[in-house]
Amino acid sequence: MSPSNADNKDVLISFEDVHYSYRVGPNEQVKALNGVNLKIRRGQFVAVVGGNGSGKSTLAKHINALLIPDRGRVVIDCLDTSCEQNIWEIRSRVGMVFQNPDNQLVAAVCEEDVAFGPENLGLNPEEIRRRVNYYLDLLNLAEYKDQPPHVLSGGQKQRLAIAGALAMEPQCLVLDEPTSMIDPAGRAGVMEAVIKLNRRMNITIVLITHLMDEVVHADRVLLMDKGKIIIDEPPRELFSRGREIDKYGLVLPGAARMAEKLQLRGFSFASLPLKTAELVESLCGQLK
Amino acid sequence: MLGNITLGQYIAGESPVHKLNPSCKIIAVMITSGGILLQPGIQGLLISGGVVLLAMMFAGKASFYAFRGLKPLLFLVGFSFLFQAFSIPGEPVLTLGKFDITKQGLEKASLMAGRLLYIVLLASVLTITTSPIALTHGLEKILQPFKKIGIPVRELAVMMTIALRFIPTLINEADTIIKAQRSRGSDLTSGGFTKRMKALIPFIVPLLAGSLRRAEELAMAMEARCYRGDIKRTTMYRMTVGRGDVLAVLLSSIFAIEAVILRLAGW
Amino acid sequence: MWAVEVKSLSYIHSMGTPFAKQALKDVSLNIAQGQIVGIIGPTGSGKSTLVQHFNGLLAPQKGSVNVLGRSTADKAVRMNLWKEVGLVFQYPEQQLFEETVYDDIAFGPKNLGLNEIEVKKRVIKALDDIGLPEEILSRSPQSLSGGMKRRVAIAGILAMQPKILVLDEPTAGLDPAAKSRFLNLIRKLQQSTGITVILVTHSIDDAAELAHWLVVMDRGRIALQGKPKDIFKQPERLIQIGLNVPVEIEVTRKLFEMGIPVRTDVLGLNEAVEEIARIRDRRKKTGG
Repeated sequence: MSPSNADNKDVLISFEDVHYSYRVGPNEQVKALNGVNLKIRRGQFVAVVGGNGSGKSTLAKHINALLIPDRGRVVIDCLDTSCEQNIWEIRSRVGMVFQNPDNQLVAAVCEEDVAFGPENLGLNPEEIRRRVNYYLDLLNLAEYKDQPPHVLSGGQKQRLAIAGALAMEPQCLVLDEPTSMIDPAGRAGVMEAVIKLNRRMNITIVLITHLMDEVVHADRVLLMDKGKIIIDEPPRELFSRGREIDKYGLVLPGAARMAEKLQLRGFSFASLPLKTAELVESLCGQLK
Repeated sequence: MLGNITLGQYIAGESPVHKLNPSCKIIAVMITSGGILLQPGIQGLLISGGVVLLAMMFAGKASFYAFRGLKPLLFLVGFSFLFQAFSIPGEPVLTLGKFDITKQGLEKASLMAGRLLYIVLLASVLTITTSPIALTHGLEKILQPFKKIGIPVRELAVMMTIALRFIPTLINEADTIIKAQRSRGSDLTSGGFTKRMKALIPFIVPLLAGSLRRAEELAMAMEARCYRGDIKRTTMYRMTVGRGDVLAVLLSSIFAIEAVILRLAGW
Repeated sequence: MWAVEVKSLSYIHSMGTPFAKQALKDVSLNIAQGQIVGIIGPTGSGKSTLVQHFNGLLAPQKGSVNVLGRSTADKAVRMNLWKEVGLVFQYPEQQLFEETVYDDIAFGPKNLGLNEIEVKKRVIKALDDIGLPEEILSRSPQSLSGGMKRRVAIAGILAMQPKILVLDEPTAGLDPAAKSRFLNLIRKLQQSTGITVILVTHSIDDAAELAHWLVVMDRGRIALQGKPKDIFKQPERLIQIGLNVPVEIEVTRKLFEMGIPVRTDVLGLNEAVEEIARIRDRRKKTGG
């Protein structure tokens, strides 16, 4: 499967040799991206992993034109982010969800928060209302539409943030550690929503996460280290590298960790199980 | 610790008053308040009371929380009542040493106290039946004409919304910081002025730093959602003016006009 | 003497206002000295409210709380409890305020009224306990990475040398490598000092790894308490409460549901793997 020029139209996100440094002092800079090359096709689900400070968030902010490369080019849906007049168009096509649910909700009532994006796009009231109802419903938040956001749980707040991003009807959703501040039940709800959006609505997903059990849902994992993408492959291949991933601060997903130990006791797996269901299925076969 | 602070005492409900268009509701309250101030004499006070009571009846059970709002005012009202009752010259009813309480004084004082309490009750009914956010929208609509002279009405409304959104969050954060520093032995209750001011630093610095961090992240989140000031921005609300709204404004106007007429007639 | 002894504790937030909310309902538990105890529950289950009773921040409204043998109903006891019970809040790095790391760690010890020499000794000891180098003492806390800031904040509590250490979600937001380093550190610290550690978390994995005793909370009540092994005998209950269960429990449980007679009360991956291998070997025997 070599990429041909024909499917260039298929590419939604493209990074070409992107460099970016943060200015921390008058003469001091910290390199955050150091030559990133990347192409993401429409409808892909891409997970981005790597230790704190590896450049993951900086990468995410480039997709939404919140940051513009110092060197190199970022092109989103055929629009160059360095071109001033493209910025708003790009932001309407790429929705962002951030880590801290409390710091991204702008309105004092849930439904108004969802309306915020569409209002900024200058849509008419009927269309805004339609989207607000539709996306609140899609994220199972309809019953909270008149409530202030601070009464929601962390997981619900993040789903509200997703609804707010989706209400601009973007083609891509970038989520920057969306589950790191919420509890397991909240996490499950957020991940369920993300998977549904990708599979059913074909929305391109870029998910930054520390949780390997979330990575396993992706089509592709990017491992970042010191501002570079050093591994770019499907999760099963990444996790099959064994001990090699330790040095990047990664751990195996639970099911894979267990499968590894089972292998030492003589069990065998055609391919490394990443999800509990896969592991159980394979074990059933071997135990019957 | 700070959990007891309840801002914007809005109580959700389905009463006719809850459902009024917020702009009309604000206007009606303003006109009625004007009327209350102008209604002459004790019988005017009675009529005003009737109007306020009517409004509270239509606002449903929730409006009885309005009486709670009076508590902090009672001292002030009581004080001004006594002051007026004693200070206005006229026919004495009761003499306490050198001072007389006069009939005129009593009447004036009752008028004053009664009007004040009515207006506060009415304002409470407004805030109880209208969410802060609807109030903001209502005010935004009313202030619309000022846009022409360059006042950024819409941006101000966004700012108010954000303030409303973040007040509970910041209260929580302040609560946590206070508890955390107390757990390290911070003490605000002893020592002289400078010592106490210094003791505030462990609370103020993290709270400020936290607010700045939030502001920065929020600004980024807003930009990511295409916010760029008032350019092209529309609103979800198409506020309709219904029969109830017309009725509310009409009734309050009649009440106020009646007061004006009585005044002009020399009551 | 128990470290903490709670009897029929109930607590209502914002009592007497329309916003009143029952946070704790008839909670009773004992925490033995020198143990690591995990208090687990989803957000809003009352675990933070519970532990704030342990260092006198909250007074019991109903029921009683005795800490190190003294009743916290007594205001004088509550006012002095911070000296013996160190409470580390969530994201403690957000409470740093001094210009240097040294001053921040020294804040608590100074409030204890210790002399300068003793304060210095304690700062250095705490820094060592939490695994940070002495060079950072003169640096500004704000110049440190997120994980280091958090350790500085915890050192600030350790320097008061409390008899009981309460940690509220101490690993939230850390990457997997930093997280496992941190948990190891706590284990070592507990072993070397014999301090009582109370770990408040929604991650059952973290708690299971460290704790001798688990308390599971659900909507203001204690749902389960016991040794980790016994807690995991009731995975359905844990899932119903909104907690995750360790992968080995999930796998053995699913195998059991599919008719494989595997024990489901296994603790840890190794035990689970042995159990599954045992079933296989037995089947081989009976089969051959």
